[in-house]
Amino acid sequence: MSLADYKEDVETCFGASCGFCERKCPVYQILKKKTFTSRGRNRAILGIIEGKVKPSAALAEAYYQCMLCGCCERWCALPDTEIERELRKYLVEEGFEIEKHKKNVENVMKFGNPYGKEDLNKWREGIKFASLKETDTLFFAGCTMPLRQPETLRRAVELLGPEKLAVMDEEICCGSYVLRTGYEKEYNELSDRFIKYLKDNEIKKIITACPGCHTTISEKLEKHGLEIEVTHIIQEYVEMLEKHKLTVKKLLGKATYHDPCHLGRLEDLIDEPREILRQISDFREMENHGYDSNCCGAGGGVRAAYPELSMEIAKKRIEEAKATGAEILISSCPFCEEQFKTIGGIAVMDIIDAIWEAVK
Amino acid sequence: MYKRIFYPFKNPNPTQKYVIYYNYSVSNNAQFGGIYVYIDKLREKLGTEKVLTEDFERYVYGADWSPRTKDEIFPPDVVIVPKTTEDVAGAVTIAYEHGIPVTAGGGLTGMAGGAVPIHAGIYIDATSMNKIIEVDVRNQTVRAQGGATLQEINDSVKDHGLWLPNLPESKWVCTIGSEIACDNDSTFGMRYGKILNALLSVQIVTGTGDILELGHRKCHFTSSGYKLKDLLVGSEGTLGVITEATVKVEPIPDERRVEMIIFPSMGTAVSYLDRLLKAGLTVEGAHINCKRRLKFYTHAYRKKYGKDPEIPDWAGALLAIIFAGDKEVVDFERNYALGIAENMEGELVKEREIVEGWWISKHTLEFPPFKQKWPDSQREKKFGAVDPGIPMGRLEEFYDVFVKTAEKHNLQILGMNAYLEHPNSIGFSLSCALFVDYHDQDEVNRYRKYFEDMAKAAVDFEGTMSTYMSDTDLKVPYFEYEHGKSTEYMKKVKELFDPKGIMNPGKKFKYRGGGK
Ligand SMILES: Cc1cc2nc3c(=O)[nH]c(=O)nc-3n(C[C@H](O)[C@H](O)[C@H](O)COP(=O)(O)OP(=O)(O)OC[C@H]3O[C@@H](n4cnc5c(N)ncnc54)[C@H](O)[C@@H]3O)c2cc1C
Ligand code: SF4
Ligand code: SF4
Repeated sequence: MSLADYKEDVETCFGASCGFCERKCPVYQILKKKTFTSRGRNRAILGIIEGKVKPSAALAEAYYQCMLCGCCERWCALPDTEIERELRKYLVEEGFEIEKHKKNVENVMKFGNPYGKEDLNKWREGIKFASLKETDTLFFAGCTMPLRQPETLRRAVELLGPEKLAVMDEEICCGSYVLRTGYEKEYNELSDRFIKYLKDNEIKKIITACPGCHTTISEKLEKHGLEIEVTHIIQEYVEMLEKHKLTVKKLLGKATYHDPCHLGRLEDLIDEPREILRQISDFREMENHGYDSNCCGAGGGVRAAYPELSMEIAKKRIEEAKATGAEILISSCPFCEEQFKTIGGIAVMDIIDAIWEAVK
Repeated sequence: MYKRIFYPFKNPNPTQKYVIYYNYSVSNNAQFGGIYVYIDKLREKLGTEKVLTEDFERYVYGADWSPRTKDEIFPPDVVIVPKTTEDVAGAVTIAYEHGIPVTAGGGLTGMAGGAVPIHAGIYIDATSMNKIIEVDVRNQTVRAQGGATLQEINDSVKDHGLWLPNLPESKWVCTIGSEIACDNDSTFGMRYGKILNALLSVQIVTGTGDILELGHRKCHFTSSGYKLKDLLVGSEGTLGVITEATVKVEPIPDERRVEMIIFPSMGTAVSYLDRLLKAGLTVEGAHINCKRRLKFYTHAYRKKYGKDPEIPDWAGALLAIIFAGDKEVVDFERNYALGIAENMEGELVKEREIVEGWWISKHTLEFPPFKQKWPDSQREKKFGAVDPGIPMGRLEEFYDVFVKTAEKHNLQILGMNAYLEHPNSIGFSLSCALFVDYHDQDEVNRYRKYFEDMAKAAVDFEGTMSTYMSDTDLKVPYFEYEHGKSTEYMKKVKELFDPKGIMNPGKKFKYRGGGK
């Protein structure tokens, strides 16, 4: 794909000019310049295709200030986030990179994670996983939970039963960060390794703990035509509850749930967490939830490169959570949770920890 | 507040400048006072953050929803994103000094190019001024900055049980400043009228940079002075930039029922509405669609059933009618109205999906995720309309003119709609719409010829050229066809507010050129 492949879409946007994408775009609602909206970006791409707009550092700066959260796409029938990703790819090819992203991508390629950390397997200490000979189900932890929420991760597999799960010796990065910051060559390299691993080991199912990994792996498998089931850990718990393999009691007080964009809007995993939370807490919804959930401000490399903007967006989401009267803000994404914890003002909990505490 | 921070970029071509301030499309105003000077002054006055000069930033502001080809995108020389009235006044003062055109815009969803800066210069993106200044619940008024969207105004009052009912479909994006400036129509016009009925007071920045308050504060009417406030309705930013407005809001009705009734002709539907008014019913909204037009509103239906709804052959018009209020009143009014319909050849549409699909499209906008109708409905061809007003008794006759004129210019008909826009009366505005291939310059040109013929035909019918889009640059060549000698008086009014003719130049009247 190239930018020119989206010519018809960006022309359609020019023809529609409806601006519906603006109302819920968290970035536009703070920065209030039309350049920061999907309409603005589509128009700029039209300009690039028509030779009226030149790619520049300022253009790159504007369009990296987007979380790829899909809040715009909810109200549009064009593939706006896909177009944004293509634009980033183009910008990287044209040499307009952001130092911070470049560094993080180098880290991914070298250490398997954007943080440049080496020992990501520490969280597994003492847990006895199955070998690949014993199971064809792979548990994929990702890079962020092992570093930021090792205990949560341990609980996650404990609840599932580690004896039924295999893990990669050293996880091959799913490439979410690399893909979303426009580094196609590097992403393809990671993907090839990842796919090879799955094929070599005849994996039939992957359980993910991180929403970013979940969407990226699903997308990868679809692209390569591999029929491997990918689930998010929440789906596993819902099934266990339904089959009474897990029983919980109502234990938590007033709680609300923040849908991570990658899980809710982009993967349609909206009812599942609620099924669980209604059983274990005094649950209430935020005004914007499910498909209409607002973003936490972390995605698309925004937290890394534009921390102030990112925090401003997180702050708004916390306000929404507090307005429900909830005492606990529950989510299921290490990035969202990190955002909310940084802002504070409400207790933040991962859904895995919530279930862990509620298990009878 | 978030402050923009610059991060270092890697650029493989060190000879390329990162920030190109004075790039292409320097307007012809450069000769009057110099573009470089005035942009520097804007930066000094407003701060660099609020002054956008990159080509990609300007390109976004070069077109609205009007039928035009991509070769007809007109980027301004500079965009400003003001936060306060003083920012706007500062920018206009500089523009006045240098004779630079100033075009203000809101959501850029206008249907006729009103906000397109055809003579370049400064574009004021008023949407950055979207604060709600005061909600006065007891007096049922809201004061908002000119760039607040109608939705933002409604969000600010809904918890008080109030709403601003003067709402076009585009309410999520359309700003209060634009609603005043282009005088758009409203879904609920038959009860609440257009924005003039709600507008109590307006603050503007005139073409000299003066800040003026026009209107009657929080009072509903006045008999003191000239009604200068009213001049702003439909002024298209040619008299000044609207920076704040006070509007009256209304209690939210508890219950709403939307129905559709089929009539053999559009004329019968008009007579029917007249009969309802005679009976003493209060209709919140009424829209008469010709049979062709309904298809534009059945997106939700098509998504669900994969086909268009079936409408009987004898149908000539579909009246969508809205009743709102207390449940008992709504039920009574609805039943009474349906009883009258039966005696006037009207047949209720029983398939609720048709009615609800229309309502989603027209008002709630509750499209299924990722499936809103607009972009796809504009993919190959787009909606292009003309908005004449005609005497109510001649609708059928004018429908023939519509069809013949479209055929004459070899354009595909989308359909006609009569929106009832005058409170408690059958005064309507018309939307005579086509599908326009905006990838084809010849077709866009033919659409403009059609637009001219239809506008003139409306005047010949003892009507008016425009009822909700205003004049823009399209009607400039034949403005006098409707306004005759009064055109000169109008020009004098403009001169009073805008002595150098820099405010949205080229709209309503020809641009006189720079200021010096
Ligand atoms: C999806 C969709 C649905 C629509 N539905 C309707 C409908 O139901 N009814 C209808 O009538 N129209 C409708 N329209 C057309 C359009 O939305 C309206 O004309 C609306 O009033 C335009 O608002 P805007 O904020 O986008 O204005 P813009 O296009 O940005 O500007 C409109 C005019 O107002 C002037 N202006 C804007 N702000 C200011 C200011 N602060 N001071 C002075 N002048 C200013 C501009 O210069 C321009 O002349 C629709 C359009 C779309 C895309
Ligand atoms: S991106 Fe979609 S929602 Fe936004 S203006 Fe374009 S078509 Fe409309
Ligand atoms: S993906 Fe999110 S941040 Fe990016 S333009 Fe869309 S709504 Fe805005």
